Amino acid sequence: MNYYEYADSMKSKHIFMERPVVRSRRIENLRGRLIDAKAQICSDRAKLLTEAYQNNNSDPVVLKRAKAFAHILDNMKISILDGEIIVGALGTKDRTAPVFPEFGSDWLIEELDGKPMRPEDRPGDRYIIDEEDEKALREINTFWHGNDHESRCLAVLPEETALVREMGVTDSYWLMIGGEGHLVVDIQGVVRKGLKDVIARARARLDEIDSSDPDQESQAPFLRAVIICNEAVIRFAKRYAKIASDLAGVESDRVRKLELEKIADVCNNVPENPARDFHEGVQAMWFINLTLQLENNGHSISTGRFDQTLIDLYENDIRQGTIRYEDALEIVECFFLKVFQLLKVTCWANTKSFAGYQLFQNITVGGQDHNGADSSNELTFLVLNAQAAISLNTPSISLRYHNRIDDRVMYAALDVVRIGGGQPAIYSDEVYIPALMNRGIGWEDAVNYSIVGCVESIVEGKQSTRPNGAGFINLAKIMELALYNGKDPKTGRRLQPGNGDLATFGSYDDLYEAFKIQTRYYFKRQVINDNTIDRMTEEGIADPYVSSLVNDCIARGKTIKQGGAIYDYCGPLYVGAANVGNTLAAVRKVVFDDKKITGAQLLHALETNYGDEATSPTGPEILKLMKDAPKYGNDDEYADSVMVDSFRFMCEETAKYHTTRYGRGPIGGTWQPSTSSVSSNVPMGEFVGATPDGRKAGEALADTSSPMHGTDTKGITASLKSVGKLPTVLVSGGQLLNVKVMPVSLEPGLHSTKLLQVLRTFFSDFKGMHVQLNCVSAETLKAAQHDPGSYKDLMVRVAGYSALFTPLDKALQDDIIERTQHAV
Amino acid sequence: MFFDNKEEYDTTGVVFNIEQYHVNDGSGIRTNVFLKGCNLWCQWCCNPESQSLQLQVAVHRNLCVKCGTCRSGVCPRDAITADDDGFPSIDGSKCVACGACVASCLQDAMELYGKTMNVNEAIEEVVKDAKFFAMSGGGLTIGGGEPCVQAGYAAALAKAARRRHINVAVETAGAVPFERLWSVAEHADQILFDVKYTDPEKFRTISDAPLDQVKGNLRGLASKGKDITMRCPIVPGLNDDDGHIGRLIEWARELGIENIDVLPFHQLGKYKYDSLGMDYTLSGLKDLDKSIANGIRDVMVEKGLNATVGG
Repeated sequence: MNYYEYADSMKSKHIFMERPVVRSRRIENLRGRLIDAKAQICSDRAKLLTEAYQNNNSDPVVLKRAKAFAHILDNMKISILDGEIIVGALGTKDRTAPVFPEFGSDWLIEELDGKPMRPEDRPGDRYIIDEEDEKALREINTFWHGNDHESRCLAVLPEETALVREMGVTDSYWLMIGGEGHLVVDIQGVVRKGLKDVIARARARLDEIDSSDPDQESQAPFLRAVIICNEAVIRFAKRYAKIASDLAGVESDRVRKLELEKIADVCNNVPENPARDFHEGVQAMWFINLTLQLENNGHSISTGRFDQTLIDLYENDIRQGTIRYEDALEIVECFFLKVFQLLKVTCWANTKSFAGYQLFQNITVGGQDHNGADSSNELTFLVLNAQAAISLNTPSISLRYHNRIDDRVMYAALDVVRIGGGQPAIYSDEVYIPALMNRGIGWEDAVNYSIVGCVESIVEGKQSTRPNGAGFINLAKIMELALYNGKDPKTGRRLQPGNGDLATFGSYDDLYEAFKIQTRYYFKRQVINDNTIDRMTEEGIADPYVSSLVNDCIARGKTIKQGGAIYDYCGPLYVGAANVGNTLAAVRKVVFDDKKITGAQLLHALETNYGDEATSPTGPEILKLMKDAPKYGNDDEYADSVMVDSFRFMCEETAKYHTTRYGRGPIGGTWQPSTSSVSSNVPMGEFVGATPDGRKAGEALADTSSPMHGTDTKGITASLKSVGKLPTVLVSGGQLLNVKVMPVSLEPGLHSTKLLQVLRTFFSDFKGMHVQLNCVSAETLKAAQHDPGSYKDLMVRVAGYSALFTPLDKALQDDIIERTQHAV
Repeated sequence: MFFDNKEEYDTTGVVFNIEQYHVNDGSGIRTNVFLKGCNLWCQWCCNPESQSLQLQVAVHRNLCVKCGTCRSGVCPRDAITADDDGFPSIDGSKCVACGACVASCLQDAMELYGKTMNVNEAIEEVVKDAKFFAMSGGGLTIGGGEPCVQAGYAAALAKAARRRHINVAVETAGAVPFERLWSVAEHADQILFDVKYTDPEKFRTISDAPLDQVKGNLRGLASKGKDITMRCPIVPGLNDDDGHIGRLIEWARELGIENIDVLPFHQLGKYKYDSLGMDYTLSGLKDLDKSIANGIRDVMVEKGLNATVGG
């Protein structure tokens, strides 16, 4: 089947592998249509779900959820867009956001009531809603009010976790209103064996069960739920086959008619059966991803190692000559646009931390095979080529670097980075794999990791994490509490007394100990909070469908949350790590080593936000002293050594704790750190007063493990060397580093060769774990702020993912401009 | 890393050389694949082995010790005899270029020009230097002979390179119908377009095609937005006159072509004529003086062209 029409192709100004990037007419039309489409809340899923809950009220949760899932798939309104080759969406609007009232319902009604504002009036990530949809959602809220997951979580959470959240130390409200996510299911299995294999395994297990054994008897509802869910997905695909075949019947264009007939054929075969060609492989992958989105409210459900999963089908098609490169490219581009279409609406407070209409759909390419050889292949280039052409903020492309990787793959990646949007992000196997092995994952699985969410690693189809990933933890706030003897200057609350305050610390060691006391206390509160929510998810949500696609849930007769997965790790996302290191270094230098001011003077300056002109030195003078103190990110051993030590302490503290699955089946079952702050460094900064690193009250915190913006002044080599000192092998949850580069650094030939050598040195010699290169000038961003209409598809890297720039909240836009001004 | 496919496997052609690290035939570091067969007969041709589409056996007289091994029953067709000087002489009507004599020669004095290769075999050689292409903005250059003589093969080779993300340059003299030229040029990122003569009468001495067709083709490629470099061999006494240089500049400016390479005549191909037993009519001619070549380039630069000597 040939799809691609040369004559119709449109050239862009971008270059990929020395050639102009080309979009076919089909892709140009679909892409333009989706960029222009308004995000729209749809009540379809919520209504169908509510009906099913009401009709199956006495079923066990896992069966009730399966029946609701099937009811949704059988009855939701669906359609095929003009020109689509890959089909399936969350609704019939171009960008439909379904609603998940079973997780949390009241927040939406409150926002519809204008508290804090209606979804269409938000400063960023706006959603429109039809009157009819709004009416329906208000009606069903009477069923869900007090009866949703959020209410059940709040009922069991200890009181102090709410206080911790109010103080801004943790942010995990969204864990309550989000479902299972942050994983890659066994897509390879689906592509190779089809869902009929999943169903067959569930039936076989069901037949084996000895129901006189209470342990085994309790597995039966889950296994029945698996069958219901997977059969529903097969029927869902066939509904699309029916639409395609109906459309083909009335289609007058000969070429499109053939395409629609092929689509019908594809959707009749997959995901039920093994994929027969590349088109079917991609469609199967999409149906799985799409239906997972409909089961629950999670995000970061990713597609894993795309270039490895589909390479056999692609190779066969290419060798036979049944498909051309250009056709495969167009199929993949259609797939990317489907991913871009995905939306889920969540409350405004949560949205601020995950700005940019993001569902964190990661596509991993590159990496190594089981022999450690370079596994990049023709599809690796094809995926990068597709991203060059589509260049939208989602999906996120993740490239696995390793020392043996072909330079051409790296050049191809830099070509895509030059186009903008920080894609692909680059991850180093040289650190990720040892980090995973350190947590107990064997080589065979560790080498097969892929990326989910921002930078988190996952073993495909074998690993569980936690609903929606993880909770943020505000390290700068913990540092602040340590300076005030455990008392929050904002609320006056003291949950954990310390060993004194900044005015009374006799030495640097006292200060460091104070930080450790607060860290131990608040890390533990977060564990209690998140684990409690996990337990409520196990009991109230159960997730039968996603569990059916993660090994060994079926064999064990257990959902993911009951311990069905082979591996299990989860943990917090650190925010403001550099503020901690810089604070420790600055106080040590100015107060204890150089004795320029006393701890009491500094404390007063912090309390007055460096604004008291009556003191000597004055507030602004003290601010300058603190700003001039050594900072992490300049290859300055004084600052870097305290940064590294505090970072290691936190990583070890996190890894002490267990998940709710510990000892129930999976290898692991432990907490692990990640430094992916997403965009939460902006809202979390609002909770933190002035800090000794020269940051004033309310300002944004340092993102990820990057140096604090504006403080790494010695250029990219110094900055990468500093970051390379962190004990990243402990950060098995994923390390994140933003680097700003000027477009000129990425020009093909000598410029990009230099940058490539810098990256290779960072990864190979300094054990860098991850880097995302943001290539867009501050001038462009400012222009886009003033003239958003002309920059609708301008993409930027936020932190671990990309976003379209113009729909972002102004405060975040300003933060990104600020970060961008220090480009190399 | 990249897969061959049926078309690549099934399409074969006659290649006479694959050379790595060419830095003058298109941008960056390039690998040249030279196809055999040419529809022109330029006297100054420095690759006479490229002219025939057939495989050919050559004898390098400077290496031959007249040992007679090749004449002692090695040739299955009995095509080799001794000439008056005792060197092997090959009867072209009998020889099928099987290569048996080449294999038997202990002095490496015999050489087989040309090799039948499928597209996949050729592209595998090219991909080996892909890293250097990426570093330098280089790629594959398909030359000849005239690539359009084996247009189907040249097109398939260009497509194979494209799928492997390798930049493609095609060097052509353009003396073929446009459809045939376009079937190759369509897949090329750069065109190196040889302009030998700008005088119709003179052009008739090296080609059956009218000069109008060549210029029309050049215009056709330019109008389709192809990146074109004009390549102009300058041979003393044949086309080094001011009238020709002036017309080259006119052509370039008229068609909006910025890049032009002056290729000075040289004698480096002489020995190949001898080895193939071919007549070489320019053996008494001197290489084009470097200062003359530079002078021509300077005139072109003055007229606003991006001109080089040698590419």
